[in-house]
Amino acid sequence: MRFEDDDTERKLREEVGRVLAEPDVAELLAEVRTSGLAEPDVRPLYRALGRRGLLAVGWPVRYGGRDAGHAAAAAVAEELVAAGVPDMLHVLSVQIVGAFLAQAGTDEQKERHLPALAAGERFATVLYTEPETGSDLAALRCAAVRDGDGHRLTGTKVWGLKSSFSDLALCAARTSRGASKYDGISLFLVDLNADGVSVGSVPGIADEQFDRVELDGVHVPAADLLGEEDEGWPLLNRCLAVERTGLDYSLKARTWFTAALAGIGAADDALAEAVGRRGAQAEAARLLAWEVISGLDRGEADPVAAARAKYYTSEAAQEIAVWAALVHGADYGWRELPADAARTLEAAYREAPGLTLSAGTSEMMLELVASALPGRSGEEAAGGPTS
Amino acid sequence: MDLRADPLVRRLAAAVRDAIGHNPDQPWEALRRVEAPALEAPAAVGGFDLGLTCGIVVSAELGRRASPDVYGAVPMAVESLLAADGDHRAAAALAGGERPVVSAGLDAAVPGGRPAPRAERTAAGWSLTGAVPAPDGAPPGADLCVPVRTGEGVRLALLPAAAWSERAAGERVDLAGIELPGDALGGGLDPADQAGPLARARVRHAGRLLGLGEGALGLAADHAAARKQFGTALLGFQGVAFPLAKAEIDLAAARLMTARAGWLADAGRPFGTAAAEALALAAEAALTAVRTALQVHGARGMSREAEVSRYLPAVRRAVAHLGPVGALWREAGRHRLAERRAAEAAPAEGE
Ligand SMILES: Cc1cc2nc3c(=O)[nH]c(=O)nc-3n(C[C@H](O)[C@H](O)[C@H](O)COP(=O)(O)OP(=O)(O)OC[C@H]3O[C@@H](n4cnc5c(N)ncnc54)[C@H](O)[C@@H]3O)c2cc1C
Repeated sequence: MRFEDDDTERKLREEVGRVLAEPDVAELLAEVRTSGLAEPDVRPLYRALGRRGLLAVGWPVRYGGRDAGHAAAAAVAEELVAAGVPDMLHVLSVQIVGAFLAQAGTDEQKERHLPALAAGERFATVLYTEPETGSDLAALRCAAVRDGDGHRLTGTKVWGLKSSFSDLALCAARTSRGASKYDGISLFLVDLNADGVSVGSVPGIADEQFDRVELDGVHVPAADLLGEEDEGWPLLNRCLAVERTGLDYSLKARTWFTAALAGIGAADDALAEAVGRRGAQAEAARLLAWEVISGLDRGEADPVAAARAKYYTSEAAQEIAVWAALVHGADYGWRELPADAARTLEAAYREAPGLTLSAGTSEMMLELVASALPGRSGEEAAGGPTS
Repeated sequence: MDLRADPLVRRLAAAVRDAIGHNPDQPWEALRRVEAPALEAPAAVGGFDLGLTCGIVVSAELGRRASPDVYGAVPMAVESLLAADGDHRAAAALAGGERPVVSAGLDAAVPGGRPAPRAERTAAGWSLTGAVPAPDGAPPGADLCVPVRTGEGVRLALLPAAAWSERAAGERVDLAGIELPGDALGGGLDPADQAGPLARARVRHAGRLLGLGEGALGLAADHAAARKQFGTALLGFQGVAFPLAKAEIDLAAARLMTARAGWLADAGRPFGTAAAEALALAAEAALTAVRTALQVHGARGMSREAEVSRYLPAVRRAVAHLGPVGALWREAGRHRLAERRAAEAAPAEGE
């Protein structure tokens, strides 16, 4: 084990620091941070980072990456978030859809899509969940009907994020009905600008607004079918272990813990004890995420370790957000909390309920972990494979 | 970072586990067979100098079987004897496994723990007063390490078997009237020393607690998979499975925090806060795992013949071994606040 950066990680962290200090990047970051918008457009900033090769350092060079591995990519993500770069669009576009393509796409698909995602020229999102199918994703209804050598997709996808900032979407649809609900699911890359796609939003309590995407006979060419037709479910589960590290949640835990401390001067015993607990939780969350990441770099994707990490990191971040509200009061005004920390924590509190639902709910993660407990065969590894 | 377990660590764990085998109540000979007493000791006294990381493993394997802790006092006594500049021969004997050594009453050395026994100087050496709890499952002929308050703070006293074994009555060992030679006290046990013997003991002991929690959890998972009610295995009920899964996750978190504290210590980095956090997390995770394990076993878990029943008394003693958990959290919290203030004062350094 090594609880410190290797050379690559350290150099990349330094590079991120230097790049964020370059005038054009610094200005774009300042615009995002001071926009006053609940959901500012981060694309220009990402493009600037993409031009400098920082969005997908883990990918192969020919797809716009640096072949630097998962740990290196995680180090970059940590630095960007620590500097205040919003990460949701990056998580969806690069860490989930891009990683999925890198795993499951054909060479042609990778060549067509990955460089643009790595450069921040195009963005991608995830359309799995439907009004009637959340945790039980395999029961999805969105229909993909053969049309020539492609398909036409019809259905409603909800609770996604960032669709209005995105160009394409990874979408799960039913291509046939088999003996079990797990048969007959296929995965597509859908062009969000195609005819028949309408992107609406569902006003929500968090800063990031939910999407409602209607697909009405949207044509998807054969070239954008991912994997084999009807074989989407196992593919989805396999790729999940690569996407689910808990890193993004662990970064929220850390950011929010740090913000909460900003207003705490002297601490009585009870407060010191609470700070101790939350600090250790945030630290442990990070380690669990990195345990998964370390495994990926050795080619050992471990779905149980990933479920553990997702569960712990999201629960920790949520607890920290709620604790900060208790410590600082309803208007975050009980102590001398700086205004930006108060804003961060207020938004955190509204975002927190979603952490234990997105990317596999806490209950689905516990199912996965329980299924691997000693003595249990693991035959029924459920896992809410949604983003 | 690279947080996958090292093969060496896995091999050591397997070796200790095999050695303990069918005799979890008397593990001392097993530890001697795998030369565990020498693992952490410096080469100068014949040790392998393999660091705290190995100490965590041995402690965890003893905990996993709810075996008495016949390991933790060895490296602590060796470190303490050497720190008091001293007795290489005695330290070498302990590292060589020539005789066992156990500890008791260490919570007297930390804030919030019991009052420390006292050691007064006499013409011949030291005279003790006070008492400590009787150590659990001490092998015959074991020395006993206890903290004693002297004019210069709390130090570790090493009592030969002859001095203490007759005095163990029920739950306590009465130290009043024990006379020790002048060189029988080891180095200081200052809880504020963030890299001293107590800080190291915390990390090892976190390992023990993890083992206790994992052992109980393993028994519970096996039981829940085998026992059927309502026509199905208990583990098929989320009301049974989820608390077990949560306990497993909390133990995994504490395991990484403990490994981190050990790694920091072995790398010569500051590890005081990491040690406090690891111990506090491990203590709470172990206690919850054991309670959950008993619940999952139903009434049979409370019968003496149920393996899991051994974990209940063991975890109570282990949780309190190095003082109150709340005090660890307060120490860690105050440290984090101080760190934060320092970072604010030097923003150029900060993240
Ligand atoms: C912030 C956020 C971002 C999201 N982003 C995306 C995205 O990008 N793309 C996308 O497709 N979706 C996205 N989702 C949707 C997310 O995947 C779903 O919310 C999730 O799968 C749960 O589905 P549901 O909300 O319909 O809840 P339901 O499935 O109705 O579940 C409700 C509750 O019941 C529990 N439950 C359900 N079944 C069981 C069971 N068998 N055992 C025990 N408990 C059970 C669940 O865990 C949950 O707590 C996002 C959600 C959030 C909150």
